[in-house]
Amino acid sequence: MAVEHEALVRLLLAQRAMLLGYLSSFVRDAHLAEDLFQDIALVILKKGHELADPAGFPLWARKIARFEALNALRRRDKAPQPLDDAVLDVLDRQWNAVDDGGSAAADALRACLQRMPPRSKQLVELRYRDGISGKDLAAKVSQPLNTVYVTLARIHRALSECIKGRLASGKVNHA
Amino acid sequence: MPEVPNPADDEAFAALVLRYLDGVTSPEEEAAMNAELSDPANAARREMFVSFCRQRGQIVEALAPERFEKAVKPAPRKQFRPARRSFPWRLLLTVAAVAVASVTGFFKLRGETPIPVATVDRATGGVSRSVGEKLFAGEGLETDARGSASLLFDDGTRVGLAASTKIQGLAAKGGKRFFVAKGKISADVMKQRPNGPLLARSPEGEAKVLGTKLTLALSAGRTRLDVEEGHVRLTRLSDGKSADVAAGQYAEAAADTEPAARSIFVGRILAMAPRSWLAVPGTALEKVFPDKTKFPDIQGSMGSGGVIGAWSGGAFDSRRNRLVLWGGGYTDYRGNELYAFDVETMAWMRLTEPNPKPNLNNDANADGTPNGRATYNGLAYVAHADRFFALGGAVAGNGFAVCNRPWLFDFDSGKWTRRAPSGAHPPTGHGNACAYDPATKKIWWAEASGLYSYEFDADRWTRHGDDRYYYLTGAIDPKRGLWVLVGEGEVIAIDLRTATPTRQAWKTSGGDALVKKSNPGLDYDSVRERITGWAGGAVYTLDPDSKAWTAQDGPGAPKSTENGIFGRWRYVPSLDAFIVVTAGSEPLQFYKPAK
Repeated sequence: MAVEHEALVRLLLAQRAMLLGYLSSFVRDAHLAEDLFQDIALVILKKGHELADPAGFPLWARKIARFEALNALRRRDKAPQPLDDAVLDVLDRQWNAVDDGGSAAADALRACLQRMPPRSKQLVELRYRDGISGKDLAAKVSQPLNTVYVTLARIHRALSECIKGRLASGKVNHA
Repeated sequence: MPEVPNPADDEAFAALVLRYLDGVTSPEEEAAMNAELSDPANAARREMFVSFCRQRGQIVEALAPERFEKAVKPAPRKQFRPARRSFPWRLLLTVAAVAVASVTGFFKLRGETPIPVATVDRATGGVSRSVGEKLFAGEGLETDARGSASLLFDDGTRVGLAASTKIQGLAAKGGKRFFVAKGKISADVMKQRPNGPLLARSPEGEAKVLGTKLTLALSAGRTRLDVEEGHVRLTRLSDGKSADVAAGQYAEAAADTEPAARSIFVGRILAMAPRSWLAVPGTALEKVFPDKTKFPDIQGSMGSGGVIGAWSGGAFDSRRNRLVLWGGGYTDYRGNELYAFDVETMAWMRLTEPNPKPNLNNDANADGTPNGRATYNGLAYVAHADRFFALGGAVAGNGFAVCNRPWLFDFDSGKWTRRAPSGAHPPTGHGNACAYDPATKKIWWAEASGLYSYEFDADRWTRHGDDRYYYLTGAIDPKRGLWVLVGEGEVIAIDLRTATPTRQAWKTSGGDALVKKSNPGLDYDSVRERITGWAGGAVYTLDPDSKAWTAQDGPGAPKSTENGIFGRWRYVPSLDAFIVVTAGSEPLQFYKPAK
């Protein structure tokens, strides 16, 4: 039996961050990923009758997203995805293997963002909220480009540790 | 929050992952990524890669959730307030101003200033924001049933909101963007950067604008885009199908409607008053005539205008909704090119190029195309096979070359082929008439030597009698199974459903002015189930049951073509109107028949 439309919308909302992240890994362009997310949302809602079990939504939605993302790169004359198909398959298995923690992880992330040192928080906001490119960010903070990326990488890893810690301790609803 | 760790062994790879996700890696670095991620021993790095991807999506969701809302979660309704700043609203507006100032101050403390996306520069009636208010990324604007407003962007682009309209999710990065949730907008868009077009989305479609004037209207699951100036691409979001919409055109996106550019005149023709004529400006065939200087050997005495003026006709391609013309011949015009008028876009196309060195006095040219000719009524569209059929006529040169083998044009390949059918073929000549019968899939042919039928699929002729037919135009009435031919003072009906179709001379009343003409325009009106003809002046409609003509003398009728209208008068079902072309220098005309 197919998943009801309303349930499908809920699933889509719950997995939207995962899908946006997944799409970004293919198209490597934040604007294009956001555009694609909207396109894919419509495809998902249209093809909802194909999904029999809500538990299979993340895998099913990622299959659609991968197909649409690769098509979009071709349609828009973008450079092809540089990773080999075999690597993409291996990464897909990694996506499938790890539960993203759902809304608890999202709450934990918000809490971790709030407790982040001001300098780190500012970099994250400039990069991801305001959409400033790495190059422009480097100019803005007067740092070499590589330093900016290393700093952002440290922030990401710190966030991962922070989220893991909060999920493990059950502290997910407040900062 | 712990301090940022610094494990040197993975740090370079982590930074590489972020640079990769931003699309700023070199081919060498991407090759290194491939190697790292495919190495079975590097499970931790694959985990990091996926973790970073997830986290980026989660951060966007946490910090900029409006980026998702356009597609799946409409923004909550805003309270309306009147555009006029009457006293009770001043307090609220002041609070709003303080809030904006606070936000601005917050950003200033951080060394940044938020940049407004647009400013409300007009608001009348019920509008969710007031004149002069600046809208920031993620915000929107809504009008109620009595409201209207406009938004001004910093480059002078202006977006107008009609009553009961809601736009949301304003953004400026990568081009101006907003989502039209309901209602109707108009836009006067300044020239945008090629890589940063204005994007107006609706639930059904997306209009990508580089600089133009347009309106975007939503109603009952449909989004309609009208373009006044410039060029806009409308894309149906459900499947990515799109149409490029030019000035003077519109397109719709809906679940059951694939975007296709149609002329704004399509709507006007659909709305025409009965018994009226409409000339579509800018549609003279001469706009697409071949350059005389490049084709000096084909001009003849009439030039390309001979396609129409030299005893020539056309056929209606019902699959593509196009009137197809072919003509000229004799000493009038030697070009052999085909033309089509697309009633969706209201534009002419030259489907083929003329042979620059025609093989005069011969049926075929050296390049395998037919020589140009006066086509009379020897043209038909074979609907079931999607082919344009041509036979007989007066070939370029002395006009008497034998041309008794059917030519077929394939619109998809753009190629002509010539057939050699079996059976008793007509000798053909001047003043022929033919028509395609969808019921029998035959082409019926009437000429001075008699009546014939051509079975397209079997490629075979059959002769049905030796009665004379000359300078007539015929239309098949599929409901009654009749081929009705009119001209030279005669109305002739042939019952195509009998075993021995024969000529029946009909005595009709009320249509003498049309009947006496040679080669009038004549076609079957499938809505009214009547045969309707025109050869200048009034339009005449024949009721085949009563055999009575009714004259419809609507204002604005064009001047007829001196040598006959032939097949250039055709009924267009999608418009419920007749189309006619009378001269190369004149615009297309449409006639809306009486109800």
